[in-house]
Amino acid sequence: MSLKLLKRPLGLFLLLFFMMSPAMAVRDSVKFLAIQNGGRLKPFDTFAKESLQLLHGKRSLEGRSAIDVIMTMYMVPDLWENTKFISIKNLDLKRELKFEEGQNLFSMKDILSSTRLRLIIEKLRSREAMKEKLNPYYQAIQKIEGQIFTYQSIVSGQALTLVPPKQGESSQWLPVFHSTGPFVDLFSKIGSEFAMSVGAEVKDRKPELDTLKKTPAQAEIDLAQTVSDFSAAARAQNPELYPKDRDIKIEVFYNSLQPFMWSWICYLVAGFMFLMFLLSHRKWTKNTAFFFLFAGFLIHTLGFAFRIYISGRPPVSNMYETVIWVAYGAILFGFIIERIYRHTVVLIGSCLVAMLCLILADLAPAILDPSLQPLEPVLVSNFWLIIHVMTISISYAAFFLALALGNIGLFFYIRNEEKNKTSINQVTNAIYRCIQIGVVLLAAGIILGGIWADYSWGRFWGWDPKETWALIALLGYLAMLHGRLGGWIKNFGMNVWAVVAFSLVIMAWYGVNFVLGAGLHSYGFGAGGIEYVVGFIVAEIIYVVYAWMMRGKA
Amino acid sequence: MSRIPLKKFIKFFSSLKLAVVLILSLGAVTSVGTIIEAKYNTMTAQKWVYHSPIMLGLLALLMFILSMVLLDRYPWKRQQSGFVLAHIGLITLLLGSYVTMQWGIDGSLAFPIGEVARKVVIDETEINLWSSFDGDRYTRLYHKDVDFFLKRPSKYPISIATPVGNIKIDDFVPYAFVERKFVGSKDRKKGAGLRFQMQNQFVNVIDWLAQRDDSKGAIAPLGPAQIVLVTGFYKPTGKNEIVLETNGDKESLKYTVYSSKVGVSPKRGVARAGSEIDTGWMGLKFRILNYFPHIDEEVTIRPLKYPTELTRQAIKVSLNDRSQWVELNNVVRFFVENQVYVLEYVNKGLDIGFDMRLTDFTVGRYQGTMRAASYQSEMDVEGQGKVTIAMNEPLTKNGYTFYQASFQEENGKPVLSILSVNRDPGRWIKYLGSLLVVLGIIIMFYFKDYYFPKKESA
Repeated sequence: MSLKLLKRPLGLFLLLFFMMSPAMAVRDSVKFLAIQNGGRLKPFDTFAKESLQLLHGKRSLEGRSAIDVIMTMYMVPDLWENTKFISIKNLDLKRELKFEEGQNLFSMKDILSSTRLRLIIEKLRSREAMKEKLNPYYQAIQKIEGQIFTYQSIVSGQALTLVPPKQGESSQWLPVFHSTGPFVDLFSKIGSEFAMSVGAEVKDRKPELDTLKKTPAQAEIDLAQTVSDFSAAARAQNPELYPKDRDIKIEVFYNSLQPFMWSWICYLVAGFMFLMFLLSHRKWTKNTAFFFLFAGFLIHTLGFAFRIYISGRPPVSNMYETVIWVAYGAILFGFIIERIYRHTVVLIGSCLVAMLCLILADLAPAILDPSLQPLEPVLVSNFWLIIHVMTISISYAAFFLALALGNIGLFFYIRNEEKNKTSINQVTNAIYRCIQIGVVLLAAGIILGGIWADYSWGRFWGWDPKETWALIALLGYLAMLHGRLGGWIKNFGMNVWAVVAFSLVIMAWYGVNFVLGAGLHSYGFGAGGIEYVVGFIVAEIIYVVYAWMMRGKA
Repeated sequence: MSRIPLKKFIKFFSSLKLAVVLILSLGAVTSVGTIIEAKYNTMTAQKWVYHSPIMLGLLALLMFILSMVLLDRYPWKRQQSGFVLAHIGLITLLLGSYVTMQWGIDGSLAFPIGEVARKVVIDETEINLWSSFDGDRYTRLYHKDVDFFLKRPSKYPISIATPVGNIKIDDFVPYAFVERKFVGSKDRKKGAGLRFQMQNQFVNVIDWLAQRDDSKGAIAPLGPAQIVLVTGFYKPTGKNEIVLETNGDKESLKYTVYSSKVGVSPKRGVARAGSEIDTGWMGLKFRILNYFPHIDEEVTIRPLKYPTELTRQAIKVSLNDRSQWVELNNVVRFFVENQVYVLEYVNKGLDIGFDMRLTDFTVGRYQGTMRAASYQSEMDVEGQGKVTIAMNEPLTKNGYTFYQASFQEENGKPVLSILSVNRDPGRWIKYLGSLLVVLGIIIMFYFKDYYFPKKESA
């Protein structure tokens, strides 16, 4: 592609980039403090974001950064105690606490002063003591408990484990106020300078509050200096345990980069451009589409690379990561099929799938937890584990792509079967290829899962729900392939099956963890979102039935 | 049989329609299994679905159909090699699974730290009836492998004839929450029991100490000290101990407090329910909350609808007019005249044929948390010496493979390591089958057109 050809797409890309860039962040230096939290060392930035995520359900609060919220929570707890920002969504729980049902945010004071709280936690305790399964209501109680604990440990400073142990002692980092040496003084200096900076910012907006002598820029510089003194002292205390500067910087950068948001934006534009190309057949639309597809894919890959670097393991250990991996696979398979058969429509499907996955991952952090958590022992350093999870989940990408193509195909049927014959043939052929890819990978993945299980617990096949549902999904698609071979499933049937059979994949991928909640794969379990998933399946079924009826009429 | 019907027979069973129906039925049945597993537990799902006659029947039919399909297409052509490989692979895989099911062993082995174990516990259960005149030597009168889950004793009661009457098992609860408590008894053959409290500013232990049935002594170990409830003579061990001597049917006890320190003379006295004894060990106070010269152990069960980690299977055992509940891996004793009958309801065990001892167990934690990052058992294995068994690092010996499965801890310290033990003669058959299946599918989908040009149009 010559430079001239690139000009238009590049311009569009840069425009988007500037429109979406976050405003200049302030008090950034604090982000780079190292903290021990949740079983690993991380930048203070990650800690603040994850804590705010738990408390508030989002990683920022009304435009204020997580750092600002968490730091002021520690310094001026009174300010936050009455602020309604703690997210509680479970209706039964709100009813039980006698909270307003329409409201989702409450103050810590509301929660702690509720006379029912103790009772509810007692109820949870007795459930736990009987080791019964916890339904969403009890999971919501657990979450409130976690929120109270997190809030209180931040307010009390217990959570601020910023000081490494002295050399030769345990691996447990100390909360600042439990430490000896310069840390207490330095941290209170950080606190006051942080407050100064917040104050300067307020003053900048409201000149009548001009009681501070520093300019925002000066406050910023002073704060950065104190933070770097603190880090230096912490590193000096235990150079071996203190993380590398580079690692901290990379993680903070990753936090602010939001690569998966960028890639879905690119895929959105690419998908739109491919559609334009199909309608207008203008060359520049196709070029632009490919440009954005590659840009998105590059950023997507970069995001993966970051996660692998930070966590030191392949990113397929929870739901969030598999969703992103599936998006990746959908683009990859779509591209391969497009290269072989030249069906541009496949790439529209790819972009749709990748976009849907990445938007979900981006917008539903309460359900798909993006934080990097330590692994269960059985998952640590295991070649077969990684291979089987990657193989199975990428097979879901192929089936997901088939679903998207099925939807497009049915759309052609609804519009006009006769006129769209070529398109329908193309789509159906692509569906067939997708399902072949999916079947090969899923069959291999299930078997690799067996090898892993055999290697780790000496059991090739144990009817674990996750593996069983993967098998059921495979059986569904195998039935389809045999049906096609037997001639009962024709083009229309292929499109319908591609849509309907994906509910089996949804069950295997999401349902086992979030609905059934049983079995050995419990480390991937979570809660929430079921109404949306069911809604999705129902909508798809209605669409299929509608297409069926319309087709009869035509 | 003439040639035509045989051909027809093969054609019928190798039809694609039948294949689709069978594939869908397999999917439907297994999906029911996963729902049952989520609602109940793995054991229930296996008994009701995965190992049920319907499931086995479907799998057998699948194997049969696969063979018919291969027969139908015989002689195989070159372009069918993918199809043939995949289908032969599937048959091999199912065959391997059958070998595993029939001859494989899958059990677990639990080691307290420092101890030897060699009996692998497997899922199957059995009942045994033992009898004894003196409490030392037992004779087995009866043995039976049982599966009360599938063959409920309420429908198929078990009755064992003994000289003193029939011992019957006539009820079963799959998910029972078992509670045990002690109550005073009028039966003078029963041993004594007391409920005590041991307390200082750090410790507060409340527990029962009971002479089980006809035994003459009972010991409650409490770390550096112990409490002994004894009838008759007792020789002190030299440890910190409180020795309580029963006194026939009387409600009082003679006590002696020994100290492990040299030169501290024992403290003696008489105690009864409500008495408090100053032990002199780190300010510990010993209180007798309740004392019965003769006690009965009462087992009550609460049947639950769904299992939890705390529920057990329990059976009701009766002899003449007496009946008692007992949970899996426990025993019931009946005293009749001068004999004792012991009925045990236990998981079957399998001797591995050599000794293994857990010398140490270590847990690595994620920094700053109690979350386990790794754990491993240091074993001393007969004929092999020191061996470490860790997650994903099993030990193989004499055809068995030992995997680190889990551990139990008390107060943040591991006390028990659990290994899963496995022997799988079908393993390599399954692996071969898997390889063929995957290879077959790949050839079928991607190399068919390449190696063998298509003859029919799509």
